[in-house]
Amino acid sequence: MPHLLGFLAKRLFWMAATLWVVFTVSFFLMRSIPGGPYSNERNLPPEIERKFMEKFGLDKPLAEQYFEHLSRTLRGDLGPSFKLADYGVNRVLAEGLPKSAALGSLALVFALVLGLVAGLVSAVRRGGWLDHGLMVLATVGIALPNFVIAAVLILIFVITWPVLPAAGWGGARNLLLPAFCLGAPFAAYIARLTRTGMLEVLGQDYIRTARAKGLSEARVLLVHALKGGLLPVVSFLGPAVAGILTGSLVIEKIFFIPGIGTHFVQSALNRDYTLAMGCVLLYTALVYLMNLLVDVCYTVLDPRVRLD
Amino acid sequence: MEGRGPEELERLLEEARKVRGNSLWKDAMRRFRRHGAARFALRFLLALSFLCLFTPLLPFAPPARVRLSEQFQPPKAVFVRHGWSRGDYPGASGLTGRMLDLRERIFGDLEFGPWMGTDSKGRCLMSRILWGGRVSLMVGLVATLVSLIVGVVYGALSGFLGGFWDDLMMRIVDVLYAVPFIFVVIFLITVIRENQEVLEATFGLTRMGVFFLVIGLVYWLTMARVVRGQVLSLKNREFIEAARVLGASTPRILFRHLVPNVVSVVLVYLTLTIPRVMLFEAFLSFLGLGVEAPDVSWGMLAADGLGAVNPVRVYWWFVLFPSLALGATLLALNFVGDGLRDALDPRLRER
Amino acid sequence: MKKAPLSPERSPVLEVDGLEVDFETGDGRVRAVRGLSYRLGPGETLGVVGESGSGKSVTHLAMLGLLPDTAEVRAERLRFQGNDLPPAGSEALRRLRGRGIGMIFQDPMTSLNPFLTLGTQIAEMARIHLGLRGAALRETVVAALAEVGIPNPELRIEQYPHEFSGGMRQRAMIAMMLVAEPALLFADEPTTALDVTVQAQILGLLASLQERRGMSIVLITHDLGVVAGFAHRILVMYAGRVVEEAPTPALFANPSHPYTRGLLRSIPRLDEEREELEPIPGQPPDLLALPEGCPFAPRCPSVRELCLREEPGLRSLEDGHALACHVDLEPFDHEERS
Repeated sequence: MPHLLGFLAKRLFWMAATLWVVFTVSFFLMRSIPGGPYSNERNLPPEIERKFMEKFGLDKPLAEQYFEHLSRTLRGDLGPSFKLADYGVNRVLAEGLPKSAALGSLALVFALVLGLVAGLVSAVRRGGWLDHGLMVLATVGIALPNFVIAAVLILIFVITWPVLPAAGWGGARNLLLPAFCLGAPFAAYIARLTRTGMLEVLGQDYIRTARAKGLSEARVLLVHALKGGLLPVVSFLGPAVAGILTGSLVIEKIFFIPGIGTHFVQSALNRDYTLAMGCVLLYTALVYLMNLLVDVCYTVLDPRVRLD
Repeated sequence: MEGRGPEELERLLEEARKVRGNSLWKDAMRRFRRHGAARFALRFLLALSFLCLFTPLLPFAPPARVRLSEQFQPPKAVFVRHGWSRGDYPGASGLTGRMLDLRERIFGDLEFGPWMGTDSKGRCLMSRILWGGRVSLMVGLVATLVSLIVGVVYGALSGFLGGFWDDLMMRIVDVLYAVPFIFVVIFLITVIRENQEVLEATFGLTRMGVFFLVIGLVYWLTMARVVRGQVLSLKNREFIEAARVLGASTPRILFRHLVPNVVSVVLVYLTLTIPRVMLFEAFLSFLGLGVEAPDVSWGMLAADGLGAVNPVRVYWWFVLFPSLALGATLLALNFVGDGLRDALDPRLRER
Repeated sequence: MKKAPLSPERSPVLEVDGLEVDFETGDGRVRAVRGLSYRLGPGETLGVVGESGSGKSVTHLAMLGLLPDTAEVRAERLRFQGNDLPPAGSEALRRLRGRGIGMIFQDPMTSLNPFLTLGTQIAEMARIHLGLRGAALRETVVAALAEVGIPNPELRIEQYPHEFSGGMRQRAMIAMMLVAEPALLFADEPTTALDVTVQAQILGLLASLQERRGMSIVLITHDLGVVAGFAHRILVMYAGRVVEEAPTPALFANPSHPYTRGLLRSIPRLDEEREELEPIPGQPPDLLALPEGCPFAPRCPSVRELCLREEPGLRSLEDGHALACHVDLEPFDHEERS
């Protein structure tokens, strides 16, 4: 247990350091813009612009701004949004996060279920037509961008054969198509990883031992082979979550889902720097925490690996 | 190594160069040719590149010419009509401009009609896809090249210096790996766009140039690791030792002996990076953060097509063709990458 | 050495007649076992000796249906405790594995599942074959580990294979395979990966377990020295066939096949002052391209012209001694070894 606590402390320290670097770089990039964040709205009357500057503290010296902003961020307040009047960045993110989280989790579930089943079937039916078919499908899934998959599926399931709603945020039915499109490339990766992982494990001596013990083929596969065969998939989960967060920017845009992805893209297009920075910090923290979780899971699965 | 004369060492070096030079590549070529899908994909890519390269010579409508009267025309085989003029390509100069001049001399003002239909502003979709292909392929190549240069130099240096510097440099790579770069890059692009005039004035970087750089700088991490690993394993081989004994200087060993030996691994990784870079470009352009009008790219066209989807009227060509162009190209690049990997590194295949 | 030959009247535990195993490989069809026959009595220990590729492991994996799908197994007769062995892949054969016939393997590091605790790996045996649950199950597992001489079994069942030493791992493997009390144990090179002192301990453990339970053992090894003090009878295999078979004392007193003599000469002995061992010259045969005639002929010091034309069949000498060789060698000169 103290081992685990030490590990967590170390990793959380690195996460804080990374977040601080991201914060600092973003802050100075933001302030390096000539004329400030309202440069594209120069037609504002000067006194209004001055008021804005005062409101956001842009009239103070740079160092003072930095420390003020940093201490406020440390208290968990990401500040007001530059463009959405009367909205704090915290509130925007708090409203968007549950929607993005629902979409992302469902996508991850799709990716895991489809990927694992396809990979297992492929490994067991090695060399058969099912194996070849699934692996070609996996290559297609890895190669195609998710918006191309979305385009094809919208043409099929929304336009030609209207069984699913096209867009918007509502019930679970609204989430099915976007979550599938978001999860598909990762399902393809997971299928490949599962197949190679399982094939490698099935050739191991201890699988022969398990058979010699008289265990059923299902037990050999699911109890003895699966754990080792899934280790590559587990290490892939960290990058997969990062990828799903990235992909959600596009998917939320296509399906008009008002999650943080949409807000992030909008903030980047509108030059809403505080909101964009809040999103970057949130994404960095999420990716870091997921990787941490994956590392802990890995050690639980593989007794030979120790946390360091 | 002591006790060997310089002649023998020289011979050893020559041998090492020859062994890698001949049989490896010949074997790889043979294996690659047996890989049916990869061979087909390579032909497809060559044909596509050729087509995109010479697009300005082809008699299609100008990609940016808006004709609201011809909105959302379905694909049709209108063969000949007259209409385009050199003025429809305001920005074209250099080689592209000269190709356009040549086209004017060959075909006059002839143009072939919207074989793939038209978009929401009545622009010829096929022409836009071809011109977009020029941009998308260019981004893929140039940005990958940027990542290649940074990654190879960094990785080779790290592996070759070893010890403290190696530890430090790889530690930096580890930290950078943990940062979700794509979000930072989007933020970066937002800021850079604002500073575009300044950048262009001080560094002579065009918008496209910045774009190449930024994308390329995302993808060098893995390349650096791969190259470092190769260098470390090659560093202690006999022929490198021989070069050292002969008194070759560090940069000379690095570039004359190590780099050629790393080429096969780099080549494999390179072909697998190109589709990822193109995917990233399409992703950014799709979000409206990448290539900007009047330039066209496939990601942008796909976004246009999806934006026009509505349940009342179906403009299937507007969605399908850009997606097909991008999808087929990325698939082909992946097949070539896989084929090349199997051909150059048979050990990887068994995994 | 103290083992007396067992009475032959009792009905055999295992009867093998004309066993053949083929493999489909990328380079062609390989016959790994070519017409193997033997009989094993209750409580008897048979040593099967040969180089790698002689077919000694393949034979026994084949009987248990543990070969990959590329293998094809045929036999005139294959009976266990008087009944035909079920075919490979069948549910009946699966149930027989572990319960009727157990098998332990060479390298206990790779042969035990690194992801499961030893307790789990032993318990699933007892659960499946003996139907034990709960406290009784735990008791059985702890008792099994204690029986093979693993200290602190209550603690050890929570540990993973990598937390055990090599010898302890092999003990655990034996405990696992014997938990369902099989009547027959195939031990495939069980001591090869271990230190010499640990080897002796493991063999001693196997012998005492055998005595207590009265089970039969087939000990598969490349080392005649390992079977010398352990087996009642020895089968020497070469290129997929039996070349010599004899009760252990008879085989060591008068080894009759040139290959057996070669094997004997390559055993180090502590009681003799010998500077060098004599390895058998040449390479084991390529099963894809077996020569005409006797497969050992290319390496044989006593080769005759006949040996190159005709493969010798197995013929009986006196007292259960059988030999597949055209040549009648001079009686083995034990002094010649020094």
